Amino acid sequence: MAAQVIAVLNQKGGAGKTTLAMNLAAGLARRGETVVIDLDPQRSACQWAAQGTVPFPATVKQLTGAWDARSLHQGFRAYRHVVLDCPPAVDSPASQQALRACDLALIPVLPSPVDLWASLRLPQEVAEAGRVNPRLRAYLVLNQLEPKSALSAAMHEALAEFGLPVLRACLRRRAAYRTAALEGVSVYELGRRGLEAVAEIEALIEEVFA
Amino acid sequence: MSSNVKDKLTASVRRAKAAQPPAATAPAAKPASRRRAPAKPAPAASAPTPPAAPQRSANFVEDSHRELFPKRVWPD
Repeated sequence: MAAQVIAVLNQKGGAGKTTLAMNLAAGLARRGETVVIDLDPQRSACQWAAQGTVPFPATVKQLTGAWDARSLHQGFRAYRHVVLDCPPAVDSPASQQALRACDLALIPVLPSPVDLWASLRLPQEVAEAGRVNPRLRAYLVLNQLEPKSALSAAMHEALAEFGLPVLRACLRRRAAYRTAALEGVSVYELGRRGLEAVAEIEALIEEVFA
Repeated sequence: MSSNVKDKLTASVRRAKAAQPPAATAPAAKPASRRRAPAKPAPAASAPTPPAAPQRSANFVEDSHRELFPKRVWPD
């Protein structure tokens, strides 16, 4: 069976791409062999995995040289899930290639006007990629949501302007996500400290892969 | 208050959207290379690969273990 390829991307840095990619991969790794491909020159995913004293639940690799959907599937045929952690630029060659190679694109967006403005080109990029990749599904994922903030509450309506579906599942602003990065693990390995974050990642997986 | 924030945020997104270049002209502004067919994977000889990393193919660099990272010494 061909691997399911999931790209995590956004135009802006700091939107939580690596946090989402790593924790999503950890959740998917409980369901089948999963690899995170670090396409970001900042190598945040690789650095994350290198922090841990125990192996990260998913394999984390860096991809160098030219690649396409075919070579990706060929190179990672042993995996059930391939998570692409993209650089913070949707028009970068790596992000473009990821959109053309993936089955699913997840776009984390922060509850901030600046982040929304910076992400406005995404629907156009997704539509363009969809012309050569008809199996592409793309979703916006609300990240670092603060339930008591008026801005967070306003996000769903503002995101409707993008014309891309928004997942009901969202990630709240939690120390557990930052702790997981610091310890080189996923929220699944944090025990009680990570329970609520795990529930968010599980809800996301259930919604997307149901 | 919350409704005010909602209206302001949505209006700001609409304004930013309106200021975007039209969809028809946007592709022309992109680099020509993006229009080309995806490049074939580079031959093994040209791929920059660390010597000790076990690989699935020439382009995939195993990097998930601390000991495979380039040695970086940070000053105390």
